Amino acid sequence: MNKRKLYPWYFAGAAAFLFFLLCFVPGILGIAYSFTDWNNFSKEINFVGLANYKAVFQGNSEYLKYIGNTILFTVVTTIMKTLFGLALALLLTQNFIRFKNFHRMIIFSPQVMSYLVAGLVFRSMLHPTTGFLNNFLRSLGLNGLAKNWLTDLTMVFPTVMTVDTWKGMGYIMVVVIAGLLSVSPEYYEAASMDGASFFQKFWSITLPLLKPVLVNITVLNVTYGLRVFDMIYSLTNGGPGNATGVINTAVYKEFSKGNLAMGTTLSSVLFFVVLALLYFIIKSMEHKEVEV
Amino acid sequence: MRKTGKIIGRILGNVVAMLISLIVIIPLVVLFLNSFKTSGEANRMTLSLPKEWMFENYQTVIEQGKLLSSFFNGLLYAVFSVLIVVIVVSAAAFVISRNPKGINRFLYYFIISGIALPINNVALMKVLQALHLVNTQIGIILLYAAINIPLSLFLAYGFIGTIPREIDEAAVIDGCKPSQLFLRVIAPLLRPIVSTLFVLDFMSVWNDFTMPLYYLNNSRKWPMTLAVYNFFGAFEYSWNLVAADIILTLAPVLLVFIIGQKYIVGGVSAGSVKG
Amino acid sequence: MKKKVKQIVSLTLAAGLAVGMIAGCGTKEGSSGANGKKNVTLTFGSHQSGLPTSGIVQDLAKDFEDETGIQIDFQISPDAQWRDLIKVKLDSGEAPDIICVDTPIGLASSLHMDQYSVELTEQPWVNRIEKTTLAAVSVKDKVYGITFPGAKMYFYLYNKDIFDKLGLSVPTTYSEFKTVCQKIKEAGYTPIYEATTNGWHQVLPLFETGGLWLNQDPNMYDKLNDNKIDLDGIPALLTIIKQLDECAKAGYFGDDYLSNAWENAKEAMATERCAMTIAELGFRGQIEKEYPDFKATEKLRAFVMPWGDNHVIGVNPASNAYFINKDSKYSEEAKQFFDFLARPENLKKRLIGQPELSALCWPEITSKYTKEDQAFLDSLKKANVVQTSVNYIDSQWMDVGKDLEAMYTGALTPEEVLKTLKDRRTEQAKLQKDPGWVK
Repeated sequence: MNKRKLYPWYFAGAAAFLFFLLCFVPGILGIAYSFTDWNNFSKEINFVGLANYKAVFQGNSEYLKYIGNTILFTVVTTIMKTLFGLALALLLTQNFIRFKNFHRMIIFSPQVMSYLVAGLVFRSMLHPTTGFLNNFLRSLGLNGLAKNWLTDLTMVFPTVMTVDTWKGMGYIMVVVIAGLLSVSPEYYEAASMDGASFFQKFWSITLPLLKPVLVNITVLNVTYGLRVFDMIYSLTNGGPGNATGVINTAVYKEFSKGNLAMGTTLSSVLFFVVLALLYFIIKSMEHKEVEV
Repeated sequence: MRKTGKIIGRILGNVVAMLISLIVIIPLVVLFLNSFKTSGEANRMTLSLPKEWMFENYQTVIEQGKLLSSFFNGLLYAVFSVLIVVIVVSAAAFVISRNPKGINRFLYYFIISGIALPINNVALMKVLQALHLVNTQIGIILLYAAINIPLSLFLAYGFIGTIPREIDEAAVIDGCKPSQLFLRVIAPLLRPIVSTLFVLDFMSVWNDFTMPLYYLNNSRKWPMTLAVYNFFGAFEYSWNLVAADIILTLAPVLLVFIIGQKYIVGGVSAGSVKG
Repeated sequence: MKKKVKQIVSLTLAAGLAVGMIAGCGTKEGSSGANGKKNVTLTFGSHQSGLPTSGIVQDLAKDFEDETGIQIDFQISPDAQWRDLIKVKLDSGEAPDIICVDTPIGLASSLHMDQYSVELTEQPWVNRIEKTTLAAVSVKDKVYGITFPGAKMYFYLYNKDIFDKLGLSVPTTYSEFKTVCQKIKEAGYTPIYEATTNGWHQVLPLFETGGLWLNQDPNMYDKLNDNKIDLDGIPALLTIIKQLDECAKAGYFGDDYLSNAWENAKEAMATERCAMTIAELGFRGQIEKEYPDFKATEKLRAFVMPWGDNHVIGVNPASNAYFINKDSKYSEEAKQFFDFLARPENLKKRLIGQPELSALCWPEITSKYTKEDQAFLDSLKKANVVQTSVNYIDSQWMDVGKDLEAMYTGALTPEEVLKTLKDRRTEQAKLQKDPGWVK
């Protein structure tokens, strides 16, 4: 069978064309600005070569902290979201759970909330004296657990990551459910007849079949985590002080200072990092497929 | 013994599901309750019943925020852009996944790179102006479609790999041409991923507010998400109205989600026969 | 079941699209209407804080439409996006007909509205605006915008009952201020309501005390702008940063000031949980509106911020102003709108319809200040605040707020706060090729 004739490339043409025109071209043009001294205050734009990139990697130790924060955020939220999303998806595809669709909707619903609103609701719920969480803990007699969630330097980052997990795990759950439902029930039936327990089935059937889905999720979470902005901006605005600053809050800062070229440089650096990571993940995935 | 264990497990599972749902929904309940309070009472955003139920908040929001027309604008952008995404992406994912070589392979990596690509508004404005798409509804629809293509393709690509190739071969033996193969045989099997994409993309388009801000110069073309800024003041916000607006903005997406969920399930029972 | 779902989906879609199309078509602009009234829509772009939440400007626009047939389409965007957004739009020629931006427009760090907007110097209403405020919308004596809010002045509002009960008198120096705070704290109240989450409130003591700077040198502001002196040459600034830190550590801001939001200040004052807070005089009216039982206008009095032993009230003539886009097709209609807004009855309507506003910068309109307030204001020595006179301060206002937050959590020392402030200013100046910095 002639693959090229059966699967003609122009089926992908429309997607590629649209993407090229409205996403790729402006994106690349944007990256081009990182080689200039573009700013808010003068009309002329001059080519400055790699000067901006040098500035990013040399000066300003703050950036190192932001990079560290970003990586920490990415790793932790990826793990938490994957675990929760996977567990929830497994739970909410079991036939014995009542109101499955209702639960799914509820757990997905935070994803629908804009970050701005999520931020403000949590800021008030986490207020140390009047917030819901601390009041609730105190009413249970757990006064010791009532903390300054968003202002204590040791608590604030875990809090932000937890809120982000709260918001994002529903999305992951939906993707996993779609994957789970595409696994033919016959596999499970056969395994059940062999007397396999739930966890045996999970290890030997579900997990291997879900591998591509899990890779997808990791890509989703990692690319999101490295580029996180809205969640942090609306919850702590990078504070207290700069304790929760990440790369994209730094980008935002540069933009609002009017240093547009520096902002684009930072976001371009991030782009190349994410791109490299993406390539690495996809490559390793393909490699495994061949092995199987 | 095993049976009682199973029953306990089932009850436990239900309890856990309920508990998690409860924890997850608290912030939404807070929003909901505060949408009925007076602005003074809503300032604290607490989980308490309103002293007095202010149903007129919703009326204020709908009138002042012109929510009715902006609702239909949002729907227009979300539905059409998502339709475009779903159609072009499933066609692309089909050929790329089946024959990941040569030009297809290049196109795949090319489009996927867009997942990481940052949006630059100055450059985008120039491109849209050059294409005469700025300030048009069609422009914003195409823009949303383009932005959502990379991630959607990435998700769809993986899914098509799970559909057995034997189906294609059988269809070809029956004399199907590529377009027939895709439309008649493959497309119906794509329902789970299509409805997943529909839900996820619909949500991201519906929630976005930056694109209309930059690329539509007439507030009558603006979607619902922007109306909320009518209720944010200089130094403080009218939280009760903000909450009411948010509740109204959330509702349509949840509806789409419920409908989408039914399709995901429906699609699987249809697809599993051949699995 | 499946069919039903399908039906619902297709019905909703069809309905939605039909309405969407109609709405889309309805927005086309014609040149002239039936009964001699013009069928023009002016677009009015603003950030969320540019328009009062009471909707008074929209009401005025409706009156204008009834009279002339010219519609105003308000486009409100988030504060966070506004500067970038309007810059992109102005540079690409897609900006709205009328633009609302923060003043002053003459500083190097402002959006250079003089390059983008129609000159309004010859308009009849120009001379009715207060001179100091008019300067905020002018560049080189050419007027570009119309502005309404009166000068802002931030005081410490204090609860007279609490002061009387504890036998306290109004502090005039920092050490007196500290004593007062200590006594209030010992009596079980929170001395000062401070809210850092909004980002701007905690910065006021630093730059609203410009009187101290001018005391040191009457030409201080010019010297700073020419880079003849830097911020570390002003001892008062570091002193105040240190004093803020001292008061925070001493618990005078209460326990939760790092989690507090400004939205809750009214409640804190009305319930008498807190005894003092930095606010404008008009804030009392707002408290009373929301908490009628607490007679804020009688119970709350004001004194000048005694940080650094300051006794001069900072006057901030800047606010926001409306400008007409140079590329607008309808600049005549926009001018007509400005004329309409400048009518005395509409000015009055605006002042009444905006509870947080005490006065307009149009002297012909009597302010909302009582005789007593007015006498108090007249008795004070006044000085312009720093941020409207010195470059690169206002643009980093929120960043300074974060620095102070970091200082309160112990991540920065007062000296480091000053240094970041200075560095940011230098960076901004160099970026703009300011002649004082780039030789």
